[in-house]
Amino acid sequence: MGARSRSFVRAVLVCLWVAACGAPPEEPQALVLPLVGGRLVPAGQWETAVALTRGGMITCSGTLVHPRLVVTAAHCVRGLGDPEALQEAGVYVGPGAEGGAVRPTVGITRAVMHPLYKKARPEALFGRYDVGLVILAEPLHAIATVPLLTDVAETREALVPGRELLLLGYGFRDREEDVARYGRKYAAWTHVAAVGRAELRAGGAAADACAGDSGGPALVRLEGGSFRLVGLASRGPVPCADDTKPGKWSVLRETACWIEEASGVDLARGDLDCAPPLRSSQETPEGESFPARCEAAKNLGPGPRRTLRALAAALGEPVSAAGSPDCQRLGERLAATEVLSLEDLALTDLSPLAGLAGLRRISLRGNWLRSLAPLERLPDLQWVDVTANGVDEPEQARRLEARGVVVAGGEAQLVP
Amino acid sequence: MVRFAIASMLLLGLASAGFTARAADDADVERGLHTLRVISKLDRTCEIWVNGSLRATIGPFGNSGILATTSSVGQTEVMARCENAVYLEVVTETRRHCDLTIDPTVRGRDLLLGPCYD
Repeated sequence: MGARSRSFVRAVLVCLWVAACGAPPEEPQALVLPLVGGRLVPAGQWETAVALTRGGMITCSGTLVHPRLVVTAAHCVRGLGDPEALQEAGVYVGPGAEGGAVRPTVGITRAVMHPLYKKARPEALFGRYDVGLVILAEPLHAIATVPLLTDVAETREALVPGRELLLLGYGFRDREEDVARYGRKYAAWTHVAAVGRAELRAGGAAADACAGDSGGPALVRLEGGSFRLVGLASRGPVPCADDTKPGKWSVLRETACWIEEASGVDLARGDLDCAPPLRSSQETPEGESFPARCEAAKNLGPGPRRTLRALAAALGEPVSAAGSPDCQRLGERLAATEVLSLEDLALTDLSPLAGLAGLRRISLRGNWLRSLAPLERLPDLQWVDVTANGVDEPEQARRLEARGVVVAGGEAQLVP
Repeated sequence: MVRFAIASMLLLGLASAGFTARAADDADVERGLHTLRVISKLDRTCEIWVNGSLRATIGPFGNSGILATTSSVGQTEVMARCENAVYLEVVTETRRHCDLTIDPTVRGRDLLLGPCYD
């Protein structure tokens, strides 16, 4: 962590803060923020932040999310497919040691890089999918973990520019990357500068991650006082801590489904929709009426269900206690609707819309869409706005344009 | 001709601006550390200096163990000072680990680089 100020007053504030930062508190409590730079994390606190070692040296940070599972940066586990390299790698839990020489707490049985690492396009929005995971040889049961930020409502509250972010890691603590000043666990507060679908930008001269912090957690504190794990340190400028070049963190919400699938660990990830998005218009059911598709969508997972709820809300239709609309009534209302606004609703799956006649204009700004395929089956569609979504295949927008639809915001954009 | 020149300049300017934007993003460096190990084939004691810091002292025919180093490409200067002789190598490898060998048979007193692997 880049550190600057050493004033006495700040030190006092830090002591107060550190005393409050053991296991993640669930109750609201006063939060005393250190003002700048990184501060030492005493032994036994924030143990969800761990270190990855090779040959007894800390090379990366990591984040324990389950007794058997550490998530980290993909580049931190590069090469660990080789049994010999895996043998000399380990995970360390503790405050660390100046210079980075530590005895690993537990060995590693398997390490995996995200399959899209460095393959995602456009990188401006998706980042590098710099996420990897490590399966531990023995479970670490006694350590408190921080839940992943995957819930839609929590994400909309917390994953926004300007939000305070708590960074933890074992990396360098000054811009000169002095090897004598790394290897101890430090924490720093900074602010989110910009949010993309799979990567966020944060950090600056006052506080930033640095070499050795990769894989370390970035946490947000919700209004209720509990913490959520938002992302993992990935990359940034050299030297680090530069106000003009924020660092980059992988957003874990984007890769949470992969982490579960690749590790076999249930992360209890709330309403995250892990069903793969429909990629082509052929995948949506043909020839069914809206009420039939609507009823089917209720059982397709949280993504389609969220879209149905959004449609009902947009048209002022009530939903049941379970959050489901009356599909017959909703169909009748939609049949008489030409213009629809579904903005900033965290929508991921538009399949319930497919086949709707009469809809001419629809704004979908600020959602989390990847597939526009269901829109190809709106026979009367003339205009659609998909600004600030995650449409990762430009051909999808082009297919709509080929049908005469005006597509606004087809290019990936960061928020803001 | 003038129009061609202006168009060329505009194109070059655009291309250059695009390259600059890409280069700025590419200038980001992943924040994991790399490692290296120095192995000695000398019958003398050697000090191992990495980027100007003394990181290890190794005995005759010994090795330094794993040393962590910054991941900044082209910035890892490894020097072995073995009594009267100094061996040097600037590591520009992007792979995560490199071995370097102090080998008196290598000409020019360079450290012998390799193998490097992820």
